[in-house]
Amino acid sequence: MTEEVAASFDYEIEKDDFKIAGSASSHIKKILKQLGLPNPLIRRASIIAYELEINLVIHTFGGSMRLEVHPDRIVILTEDVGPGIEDVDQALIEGYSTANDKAREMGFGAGMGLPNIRRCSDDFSIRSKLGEGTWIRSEIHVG
Amino acid sequence: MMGKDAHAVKVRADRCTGCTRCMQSCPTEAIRVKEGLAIINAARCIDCSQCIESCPFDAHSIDSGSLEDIKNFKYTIVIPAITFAAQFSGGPKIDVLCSALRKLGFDLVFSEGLAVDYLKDRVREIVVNNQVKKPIISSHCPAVIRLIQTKYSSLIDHIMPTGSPVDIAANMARNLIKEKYGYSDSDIGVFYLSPCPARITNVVNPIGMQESAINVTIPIKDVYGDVLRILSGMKEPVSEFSNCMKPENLPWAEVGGQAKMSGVDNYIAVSGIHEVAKVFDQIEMGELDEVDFIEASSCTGGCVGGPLNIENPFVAQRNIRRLAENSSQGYFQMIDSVLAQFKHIYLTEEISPKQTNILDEDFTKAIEKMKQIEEITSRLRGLDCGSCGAPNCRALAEDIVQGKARMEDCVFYQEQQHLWRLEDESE
Ligand code: SF4
Ligand code: SF4
Repeated sequence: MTEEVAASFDYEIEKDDFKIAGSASSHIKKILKQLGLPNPLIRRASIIAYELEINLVIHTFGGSMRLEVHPDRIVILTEDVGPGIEDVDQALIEGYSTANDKAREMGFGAGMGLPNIRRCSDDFSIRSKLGEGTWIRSEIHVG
Repeated sequence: MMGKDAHAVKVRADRCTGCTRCMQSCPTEAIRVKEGLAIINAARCIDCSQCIESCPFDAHSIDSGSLEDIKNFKYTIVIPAITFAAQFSGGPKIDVLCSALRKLGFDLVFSEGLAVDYLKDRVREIVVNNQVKKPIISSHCPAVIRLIQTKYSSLIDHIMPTGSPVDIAANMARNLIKEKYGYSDSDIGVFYLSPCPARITNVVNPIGMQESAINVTIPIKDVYGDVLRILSGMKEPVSEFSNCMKPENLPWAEVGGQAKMSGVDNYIAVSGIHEVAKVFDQIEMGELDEVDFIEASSCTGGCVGGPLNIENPFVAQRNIRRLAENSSQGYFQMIDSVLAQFKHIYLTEEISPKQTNILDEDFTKAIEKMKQIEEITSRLRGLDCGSCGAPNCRALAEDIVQGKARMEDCVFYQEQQHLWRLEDESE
């Protein structure tokens, strides 16, 4: 992995900033298109990026998102500053949501987030610590 | 005339000042300004007319036909766009309007609106029976289809498989005259009075069909004066087949009209190419999977907002309402039997992606170029001032990496270089 060409992009995402929610994932989508990746792959990556971004806006105190493009894989990572997820296993079950009322009114947070992200990923890992934050890594294989 | 890859919109070098406004407004970043002149990259242009609308110097021309072309055919049919009737606020009746069109020299007036009758039921059927991936995107506007081709190719599967009213109408009219009078295809000239350059391009450079049934397109604004003069001397219709439009089909040309007339409830009607792009972004993110139908028009307000119309789109909408209310029925019954057997409603050719933004066919090389673009972009000011002739700093960086521009094109970079030189000299 030492010599390989890889490009990376970083985004800061703020809590409750619904107005611009989706702009990081739009940017990610644009980059993947310019790289000439196949549509189904871009579609999966866009959904992952979007769900992750919305998660950061709704469920966390804010955080960062990172896209890494390697010759054989796309990696999307997020890291937030809390509050952390109490029961990660439960959060991975379809239909489970902790979205607050404000988010629900806007139509976000139907509880599709994490399970959807996992389903779209070829490789998925999540680590969370209550009171500290959550780390998510989603990978899609290229080719 | 225009070649296969050509577009109707052209820049007029005698008027263009290189002000960069069109460049900033183009949704596909198709324009660059080189040596004070705007240049359109044909591969990227989608005929949306944003450049025409944003130009303060009227520096665009439209490559189109004219009434002169009538003499090249034995039998001529004119198809006025649905928006045509909406251009006359004085309230001439539809049959009078159609007679005025005949007086321009055409043998038959055939309305785009007649095709709407056939189309609206198909649209509903396709939506109700889930025949296409949802949300289904209307195929009405060629600029929108080209936007999908160039920037949203993952949405090609969502495009409604039906053709647009004018192409259906052109085929109908052609068949009708062939059957009725025995003319051959080359004898018949089908003319279209167009509200937009997108439809003009679509005749020479068609998408979704092998060949257009239209021969000549003329901007509505080019015949407006003639029609107005004829109208001023005419009170009553002059020919027996003069009522060629169904006024109740006119709302198809305004935003939301297609969905409403087709009886589709769960729809989004979006107009204005930049807003259309935003909705397409949302579809690609999987946000609008629950929506049945997207009626997307490049022009604000729908086709009434087309740049080759005369009347303000909002006034045009009021004119449409008035005409629809006073509809005098009894139109053109004679063709109903021919039309009843008419089948050419669907697009016949596949719509293929046209990705003009890909950095390199080789993925590893593309990543390498992407890194260079990021690196160059970070060295540019980020003002997106356009002085370099590219629409924004990132676009300049892309051009540099693709060998189409130089770092020196950036005025700030030049200034900095200059300062450094001065420092060197003073040392
Ligand atoms: S018609 Fe639209 S796509 Fe073509 S150059 Fe003008 S603004 Fe750009
Ligand atoms: S919205 Fe109508 S008038 Fe405007 S470009 Fe599309 S087809 Fe032409």
